Amino acid sequence: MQIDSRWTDNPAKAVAFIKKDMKIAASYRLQFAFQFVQIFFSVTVIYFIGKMLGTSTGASLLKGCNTDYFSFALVGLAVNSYLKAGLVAITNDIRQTMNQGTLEAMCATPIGYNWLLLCSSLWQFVFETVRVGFHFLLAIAVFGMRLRDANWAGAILCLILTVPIFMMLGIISCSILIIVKQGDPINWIFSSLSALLAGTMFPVGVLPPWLQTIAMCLPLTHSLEAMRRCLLAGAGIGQVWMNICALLVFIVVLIPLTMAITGICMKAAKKQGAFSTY
Amino acid sequence: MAVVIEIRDVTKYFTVERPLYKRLGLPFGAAGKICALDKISFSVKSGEILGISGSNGAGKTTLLRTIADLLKPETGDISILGRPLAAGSGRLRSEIEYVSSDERSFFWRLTGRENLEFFGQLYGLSAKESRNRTEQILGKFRFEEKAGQLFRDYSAGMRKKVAVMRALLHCPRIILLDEVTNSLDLESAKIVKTLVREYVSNQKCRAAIWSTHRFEEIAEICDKVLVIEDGTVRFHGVPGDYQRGLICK
Repeated sequence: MQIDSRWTDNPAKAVAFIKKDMKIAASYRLQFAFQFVQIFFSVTVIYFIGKMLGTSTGASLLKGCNTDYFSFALVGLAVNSYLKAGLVAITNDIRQTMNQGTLEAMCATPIGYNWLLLCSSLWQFVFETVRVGFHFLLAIAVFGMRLRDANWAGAILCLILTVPIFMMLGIISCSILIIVKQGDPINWIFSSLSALLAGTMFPVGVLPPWLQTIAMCLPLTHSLEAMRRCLLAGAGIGQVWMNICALLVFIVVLIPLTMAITGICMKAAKKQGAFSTY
Repeated sequence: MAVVIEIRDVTKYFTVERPLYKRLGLPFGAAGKICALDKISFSVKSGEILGISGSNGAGKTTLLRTIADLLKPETGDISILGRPLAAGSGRLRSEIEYVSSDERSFFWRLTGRENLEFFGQLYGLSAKESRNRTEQILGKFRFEEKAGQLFRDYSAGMRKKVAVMRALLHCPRIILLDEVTNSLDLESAKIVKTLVREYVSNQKCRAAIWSTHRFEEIAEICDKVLVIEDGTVRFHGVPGDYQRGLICK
């Protein structure tokens, strides 16, 4: 049995998806506003934790990172939000479209299923980019964060390599979700392990060696390390090439894996008629 | 007349999972199977409207969803305009529009107009074409004023109207209508029937399948009827013949 698994389609459809999702997100005005207000609170909490650690021995653990805790955790929070966009926000969106019945209506149009999942994820990444920008704006303007030495080109390269990885993980997660409906294992494994091991809020160096080895198998670990070194220490591409290579390996591995898993899941969904059930 | 839809020996099973407490103590995989469609064969020619009739659970919706490429049959072939649907390019889906019997196929936080424009683009129209076609179709249904309201604020009948408008938006060759006049008032139902009839007759290589449990509707609008019960074909022919057969019985 063949399924329509095109990865490319009319780019105008992607724009239509972003517009549609933006309108829907903005229609929940209070939630939309709170998502920005919440940033103020999380940045403030990190600032005060950083202030507390600044005078304690805990800060010495960051000496190797050549930064203060506030900047360290803020970059962690920002990059982690892309992982959340890929794994949590997109799967929530797809679950919602299944519940609403709009997923089946979209599948009935001549859009490739993979393109449909990809387009469904775009708004979340656009929105997350705006939110991340707002994080940094607040941190610089209100809390005095310094990014004078930042290597922006390196940071953008890291982001360009990171987003497709989280996007593919999100697509795998959504494909599985269409079949299992609730409790997607990919989402659970990557979210939980990344939160614990990838070094979002504390350096990977504080973990026991065997956990550090597992941490190296997570894309977020490499993304965070490269991003921090570029943004906070002004490291050049040559200094983060190991992380960049690791991210490239994740991309190379994930492309065929995503295609295979979505193919299997979509075939099963079409057999079961699973697009409209929940 | 050219054959627009051809269905040959289509069979579809659904697996019915037993609740966990019933599965305990039974061998692995003790799930039942329901035969939703059993070797269904028929064809629809250009300019024809085929009515599908049958009681609840007869397999009408499953048949339409299979033709709409939303369900994969276990066996059998479906050809649309002479091309096999199983080829999987997905592009054939632009020739088919399925109007579902439920109202859950729209974004409730968008207006009727925004919904139509979005789906128009998914069907391959450019943003401008989609806007223009949406305005044309809203005019035909005299729905321009209400098109700016959120979809969630529409009545059941208005939602159904928007579903029919979406079906005609991108000029598909085949329209599959599932219980489409349910919750429509008499006047709106009449408009829909007239529009579908005109739409199918106006150009070559267009056809429609009209599924309903109301036989009088089929007698009024359809050229042929397929009566299915428990997934099998009980009658295929002219609606009048079926009615005469019932009277004779």
